[in-house]
Amino acid sequence: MRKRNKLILVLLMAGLLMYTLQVSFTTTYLAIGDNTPDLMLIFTAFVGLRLGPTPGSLAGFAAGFLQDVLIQFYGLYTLCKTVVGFCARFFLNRRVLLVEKYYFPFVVFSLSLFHDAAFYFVQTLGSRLEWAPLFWRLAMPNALYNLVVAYLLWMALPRRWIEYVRYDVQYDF
Amino acid sequence: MYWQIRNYVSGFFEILATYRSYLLFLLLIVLAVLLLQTNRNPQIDFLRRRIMGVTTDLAWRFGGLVHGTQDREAIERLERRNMDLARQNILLEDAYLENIKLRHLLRFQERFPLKTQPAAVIMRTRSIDRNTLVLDRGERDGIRTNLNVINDRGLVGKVIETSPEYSVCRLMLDRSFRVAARIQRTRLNGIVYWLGDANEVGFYGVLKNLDVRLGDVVLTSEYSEYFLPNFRVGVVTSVNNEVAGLFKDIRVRTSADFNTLEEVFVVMDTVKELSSGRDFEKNFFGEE
Repeated sequence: MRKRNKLILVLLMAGLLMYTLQVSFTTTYLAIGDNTPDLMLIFTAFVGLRLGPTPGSLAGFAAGFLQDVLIQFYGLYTLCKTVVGFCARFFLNRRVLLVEKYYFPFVVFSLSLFHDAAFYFVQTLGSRLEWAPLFWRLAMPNALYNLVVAYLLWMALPRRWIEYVRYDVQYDF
Repeated sequence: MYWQIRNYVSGFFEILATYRSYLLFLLLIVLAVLLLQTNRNPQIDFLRRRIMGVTTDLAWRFGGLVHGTQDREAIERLERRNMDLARQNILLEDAYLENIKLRHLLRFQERFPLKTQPAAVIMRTRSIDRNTLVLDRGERDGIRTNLNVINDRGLVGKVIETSPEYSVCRLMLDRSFRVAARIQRTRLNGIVYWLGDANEVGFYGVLKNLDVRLGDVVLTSEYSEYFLPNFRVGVVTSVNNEVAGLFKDIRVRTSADFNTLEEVFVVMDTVKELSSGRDFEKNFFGEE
C-alpha cells in the first residue's frame, strides 16, 4: 500500500476514534461546567498543521459535518472547522519545529478562539444576546481547555506516531 | 486551431493544479454555506433577511446601469413599486403566520388550568451535550429555578438559571436531563432521558415482561422531584426487547417539536395536586 493511502486510512481511523471519544467520553467525563474540550478541533488543527491546507480543510469539513449532525444545525461547525483546517498551515514556522510540543497547543488555542468566535457570532445572529459576553464566558475557557488537552495529547502520543503524520512531497496532497 | 485549444486546456489545468488547495477550500466553503441554507432557525432567517436587504439595496442602486436608453424613470418607478409590494407581501405573510400562532398560544393559556408565564425564546444554545434555551423572562417576572417549562404540545424542560431579565431553560433534549414518567395506559413508571436524537427520548426502567405498546402516551409522574405530574412527554414509537439487561429499550417521540420552539410557557405553580386530576393531560392538544 502506498504511504499516502496508508496515511489516509490512519487519519480516517484516528478521526473516527476522536469523534467517538468526543461523543461518548469528553462530554460525560471531561466537562467542567459548560466547557468541554473539542477533540475534533484539535484533530483538524493537527491535520492542517502537519499536512497542509488541503487535507486540513477536508478533515475540518468532515469533522464539522459529523458534529453538525449531532446538533442538527447543518453547516455551522462544517464552515468553522473547514476554515480552521485551512488556516492551521499558516501557523507553521520551521524555526519552531524544535519546540513543537509547546507550539501546537498555542496553535490550537488560537484556532479555537477563532472557531468559537465565528460559532457564537452565528449563534447570536437575530437574538438579543451579545456576542462579547458569550465569547468571554464560553469561548475563552474552551480555548484554554483545548490548549491543555492538546498539550496532554501531544505528550501522550508516541513520538513515532506524530512523526508519521508529516508533510512530505511524496504524499502528493 | 487544435493547438490553440490544447494550450488553453493545458493552461486551465495548470491553473487548477497551482491553486487547487484554494479552489478546494472555496468549494468546501460553498458546500458548507449550502448546508447552512438548509436550516430553518432564527439565526439563518436573520441572515437571509439581511442578505435580501443588501442585494435589494444594491440592485436598486446599480440596476439602472444596464437599462441603457430605456425609459429609466418608468422602470425605476415600477421597480420601486414591485419592491414595496414584495416587502408588504412578506410582512403580511409573516403577520398572518404570527397571528395564527399567537391565537393558538392564547387559547392554550386560557384553557390551561395552571398559572403560566409566556416567554419568547431569544436564543438557543446547541452543543453535543447541552441544549438550552434563553428566555426573555427573568426574576422580575417571578421566574425561579426548577420551574417547569412547557408549550401547547407538552413538556419542554425546566428553568436552571435566572437573571433579572432572562432565564435559561434546560431542554428535555439535554444529556443531563432526567424526569420520572409513566405510561398513561398501564401506569408503568420509568425515567425519561435524552439519547442524542432530535425530538426523541428514551424511557428507561420497564421490565421486559411488562406491557408497553407503540402509541402509548408517556406523561410525567408524581415521583418527580421538580416536575408536576401529567405533563405530556410524548408517544412511544419503538419497543425493543432484544437488548442486554432487564429492561426494554423504549423510544419516545416528544410531543413538543424542539426544532421550531419560539414561544414557551413557564409554569408558575409548583403544587403537584393542581395537575394530578384525571384527564389533565388533555389540556395539551386540547383543540385536536
